[in-house]
Amino acid sequence: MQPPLPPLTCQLCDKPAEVGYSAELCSVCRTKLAKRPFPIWIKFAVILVALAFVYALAKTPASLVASIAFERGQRAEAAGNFGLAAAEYAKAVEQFPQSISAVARLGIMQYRAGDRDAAIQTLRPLAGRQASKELMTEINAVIAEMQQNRDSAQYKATGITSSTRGSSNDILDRFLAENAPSATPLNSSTQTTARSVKPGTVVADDVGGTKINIPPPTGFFRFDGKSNRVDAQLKSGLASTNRLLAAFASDSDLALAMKDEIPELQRWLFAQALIKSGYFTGTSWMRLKSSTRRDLQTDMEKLNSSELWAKIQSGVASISKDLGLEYGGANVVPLEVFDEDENSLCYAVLLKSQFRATDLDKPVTVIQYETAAMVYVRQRVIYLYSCAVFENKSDADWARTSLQRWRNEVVAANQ
Amino acid sequence: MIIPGFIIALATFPGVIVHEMAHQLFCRWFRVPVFDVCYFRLGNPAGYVIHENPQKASHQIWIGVGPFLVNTILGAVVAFPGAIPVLKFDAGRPLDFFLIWLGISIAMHAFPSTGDAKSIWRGVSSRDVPLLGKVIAVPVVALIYLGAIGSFFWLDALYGVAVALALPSLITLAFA
Repeated sequence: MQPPLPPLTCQLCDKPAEVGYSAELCSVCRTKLAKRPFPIWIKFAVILVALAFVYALAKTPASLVASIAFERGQRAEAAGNFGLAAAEYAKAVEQFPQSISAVARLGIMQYRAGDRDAAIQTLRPLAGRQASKELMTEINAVIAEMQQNRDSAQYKATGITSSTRGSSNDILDRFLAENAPSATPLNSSTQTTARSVKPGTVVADDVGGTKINIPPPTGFFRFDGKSNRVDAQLKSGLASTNRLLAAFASDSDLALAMKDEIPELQRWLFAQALIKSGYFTGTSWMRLKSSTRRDLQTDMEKLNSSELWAKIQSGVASISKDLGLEYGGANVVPLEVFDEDENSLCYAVLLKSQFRATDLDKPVTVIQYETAAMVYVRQRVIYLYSCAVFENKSDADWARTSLQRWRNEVVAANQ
Repeated sequence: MIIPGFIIALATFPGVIVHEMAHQLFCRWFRVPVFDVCYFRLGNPAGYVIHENPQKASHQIWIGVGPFLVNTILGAVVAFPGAIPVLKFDAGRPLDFFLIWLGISIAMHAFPSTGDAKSIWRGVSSRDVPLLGKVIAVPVVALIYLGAIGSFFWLDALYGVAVALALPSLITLAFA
C-alpha cells in the first residue's frame, strides 16, 4: 500500500491549492492574480480611448444620417429627381457645411430644381475655396447656364472656360458677388402649395426665393391692399429692411379700410419678412433662434435708441399728424420668450405710445401688448405678430394664444 | 514592402495596448490567473499576456478571441465619425484624422498573434467542445489563424483599414 500523496500547496502562499487547475494556486491567490491590477498609465490610456469612444458614439448618428442623405441625394440626382436630391443634400450640408462637394451638389440641385436664388445663396460660401477641377468645371457650367438664362445686362460675368482652380474661383467669386441679392425664382419644387389650403390663404412671393403660404388667422380678414391710406399707415410702422407679407384684422376694421378710413386695430395680426431674406439650413436657423433668445432683452432695449426705431417713429408721427394727432413717441419694453419649438420662437413686448389730440389737454397713453414669432418654414424665416391694445390681462392672453395658433397654422400650411 | 515590426507597433501602439487589455479582461472575467503582462514594448511580440491554461476550453477560446471582438468593435466605432467627413465629404478636421488613426490602429491589432491562434485552436480541438460547437468555431478560428499568419502580408493592416474606412461606406449603402 502506497502512502497518500501530500496535498498540493499554493506556489505563492503555501496554503492548500485548488484542485483541477494546471497552476498550483489557492483560491485567494488565484483570484488575486486573475484580478491583477492595471498600471496607472494603462488606466490613463484607457480613459483616453474611452473618451474617444464616447465622442465617436455621440457623433456617429449625425454622421451616418448625413452620409445616408448624401448617398440618397446622389441616387435621386441620377434619377433626375432634382428636388428630392436637393432636399437630401441639404440634410448633409446641415451636418457638414464646410464640405465643398456637399454644398456644391446642393447648389447645383437647387438650380436644376428651379430655385435659382437658393442656388446662389448656397454656392456663395464656396467663393474663394479650392475644389477639384472636375467639381469646379461642373459649377462653372451651371453658372454659365444661369447667365444664359438671365438678362445679360444684369449678369455680366462671362467666359467660364478655364478649368484651372484659380481662374474658376475668380469667376465664381465674381458671379456670386454680383448675384447675391435676391431675385425672382424660377419654378421650384420648394414652392408647391400645401395639399389643403385654407380659404383666404395668402401666397407670399419671393421670400428668399421661394413662396410661403400664409393662412388667415381664424376670425380675421386681410385688410392690407384695400386702401392706399391704410397701406401707408402700415408701411410707416415697418423697418426699412422689412416688408409686409399680409395684415389681418376684424371684419369691422376691414370695412373701415374699405371705406378708406383708418381701422381701430384693437386686435390684429400681421406677417413680415426681411426684404433680403435668405436660405437657412437647419443649423443656421437653430443658431439664429438661439442668438435671438439669448439677446432678446438687450436687442429690444437697444432698439429704443436705434436709428431704425427713430425712422419708424418719424413715419408714425407723420401719419398721426394726418389724423389730427400729435405723436409723443413710443418705447419698447421687452417681456419674455413664452413659447419655443423646433420651428419657432415666440416672445412678447409691451409698446408704450403717447398721442395728444388737438382738442384734448392731456396726452393719451396707449399700451399695446405685442407678441412676435420667428418662424422657420421652407428653409426661410418669417415673422408673425399678434397685437392687442392692452386694457386687461385677457388682451395679453389673447395676443399670446392667437399667435401660437396662427404659428401652428402657418407651419402646417407650408409642409 | 517590409517595414520593421517595431515601427508598425510604435505607429499603432494604442491597438497593441487594447489587444493585451482585452486578453487580460477576459482572463479576469473567467478567473484565470495572469502571471505576467506586457502592454507595449518595442520588440517581438509588441505585447503579451501570460496566463494559466484555462480549465474550460470555452474560456480558452474566449480569451483568445476576445481581442478580435474588442479591437474590431472599438476600432470601427472610433473611426466611424472621422471616416465619413474625410472620405465622403472631403471635410476632415484634425480630430477626424486622429479618430481614423486611432480606429485603424486599434482594428489592425484585432487579429490574434500566432501564439493566440494556437491557443484558440487547442481550445476548439479539445474534447470538451461539442461537435456542433466545433462545426461553428472551426471556420472562424481558421480565419483568425489565417489573419494571424497573414499579418506578414499586411493582412492585419488591410483589415484595420477595412474596418475603419470601408465599413462606414458599407453601412451607408446598406441604409440608403
